[in-house]
Amino acid sequence: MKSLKLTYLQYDFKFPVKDEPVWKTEVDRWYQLDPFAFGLAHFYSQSELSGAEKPNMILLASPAASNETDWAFASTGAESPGKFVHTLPSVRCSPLCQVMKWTGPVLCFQKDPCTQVAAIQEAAFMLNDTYPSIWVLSVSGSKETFSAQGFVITSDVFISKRIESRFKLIENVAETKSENSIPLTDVNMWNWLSGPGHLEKNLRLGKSWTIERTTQT
Amino acid sequence: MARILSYGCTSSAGPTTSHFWDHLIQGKINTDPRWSFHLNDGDEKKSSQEVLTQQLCLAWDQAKRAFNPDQAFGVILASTKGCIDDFIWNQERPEKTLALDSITPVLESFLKAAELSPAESICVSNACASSHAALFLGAEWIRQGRVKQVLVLACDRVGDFVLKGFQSLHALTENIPKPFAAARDGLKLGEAAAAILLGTPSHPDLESYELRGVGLNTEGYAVTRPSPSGESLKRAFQQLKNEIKSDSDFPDFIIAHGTATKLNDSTEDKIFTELFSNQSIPVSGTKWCIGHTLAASGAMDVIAACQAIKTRQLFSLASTIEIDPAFHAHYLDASKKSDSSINTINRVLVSSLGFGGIHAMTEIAR
Repeated sequence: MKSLKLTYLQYDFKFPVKDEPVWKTEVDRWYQLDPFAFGLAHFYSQSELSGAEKPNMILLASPAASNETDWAFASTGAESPGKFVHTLPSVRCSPLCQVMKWTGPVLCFQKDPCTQVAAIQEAAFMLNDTYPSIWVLSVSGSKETFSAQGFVITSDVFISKRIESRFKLIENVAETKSENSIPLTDVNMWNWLSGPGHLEKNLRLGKSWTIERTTQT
Repeated sequence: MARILSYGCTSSAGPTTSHFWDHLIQGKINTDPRWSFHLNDGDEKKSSQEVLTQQLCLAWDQAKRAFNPDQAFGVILASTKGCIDDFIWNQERPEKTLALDSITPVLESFLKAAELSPAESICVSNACASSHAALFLGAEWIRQGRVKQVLVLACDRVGDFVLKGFQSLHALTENIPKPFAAARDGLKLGEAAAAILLGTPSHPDLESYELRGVGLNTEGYAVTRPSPSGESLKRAFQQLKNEIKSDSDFPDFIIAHGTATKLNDSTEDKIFTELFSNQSIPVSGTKWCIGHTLAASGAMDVIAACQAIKTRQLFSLASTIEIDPAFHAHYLDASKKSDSSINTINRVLVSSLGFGGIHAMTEIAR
């Protein structure tokens, strides 16, 4: 039975931003980024992720894909190349890689309303000697309010010096049949992850994996 | 690595793999950017979701001959924009629809239409490298033992959204696209749906192709253009070689991304030259024939690779009369309809460059 470490990080932000980001020199024309590309790069620079060991793979989970930017492109005459280039969720990896100074394999997933849930499961299955540390990254939101989420998944052997893990990802044994008290969606998962410790100790992710809270908050 | 058991596709060349292959080897061009899917009378009123589902079913009908319904299977759909045109042009902001991605509904409607209940399913959207990413993931699912077979689907439609977007980028040519030509001036958009079934053959004599490996690499250079050095594509190749666990063998044929844009073709030439400078490996592509089918383009190229191995035939870049004199790789231009120096084709390398700096290389073998 596999048992993995899971660390959950969240960064809420308003967009457009008032101040120039500290990484402005790293990304050409940073001011043209959409909130999702901006948010992913900014999340990295502002969170504990920037001090952590770099991952071997990134899974980009994009709830609602790039719909918000698609809408911005379509509703303003569908003529802006600056908007169109951000109408693929995979594009938001480009500024992230520039700020992270990282290259490597990235897989971009969609499975709404469980895109992040599915990506975390894929990371858990994928984690092995070749990929001992996988990050699942997301930005979601609409209009002016956005949230970036990071799920750092590592094996017990891989020590992350700067990030404290508060959750475990445990492979379900075949006979486990417990059900969650809430429907499994991305939104319910974040609420559970960021909620108080008196909530249920475990959250079951489909048939194969369960998140277990290891410390009370 | 898994094997490709069967495949099928529909494109502007026609509703079957045979149509696609005949176009490639006969040098026929059909890059009609709109409504190239094979619609019946009255189909114009169908939604993108319905059209894509219908086309995926056509591709699946060709691929399902090797499918074993008694084995656990997974389905992965590769697409860039799915059915975005069905709601993005609404006058009122469609809050509920904007809250959900536009690819998952296409996968769900396909599964319903094909009456399939996979053990695993997901959508992959890695821009123009989406098919490669889906093949990588499909092979992983089989390696992990989660399923025995994986159906990799890929589709994209040239709706108003994609068309207006590429027009805004001034990336489209009014002419026939001419990959790797000195006179290349942009790409044509195309439509395709593809189905590739991965698994293990039930009998060793059954026709199948080895998916030797998939290398993926994402660079932080620029949003729409690859770095001129092509380092990321080179790293994708190195990852592929690491998977294959061999540095010494070379492909017999390369199917390049070959969009016919200045920068993409130039980056690919630099890397092919660097990696295979002493090998004289023939290089061709498919986008001159059916246009750039976005997320489906990698799957269409993998199908072309299987066809080349199966028939022992190469296809040329039929619209390219004169190769850019600055290029050094061994391109099959229009004058080289059949290359007699190739007696057998055992390994084909397929290359892709995607927006966001997501690049990929996949190798298929006999």
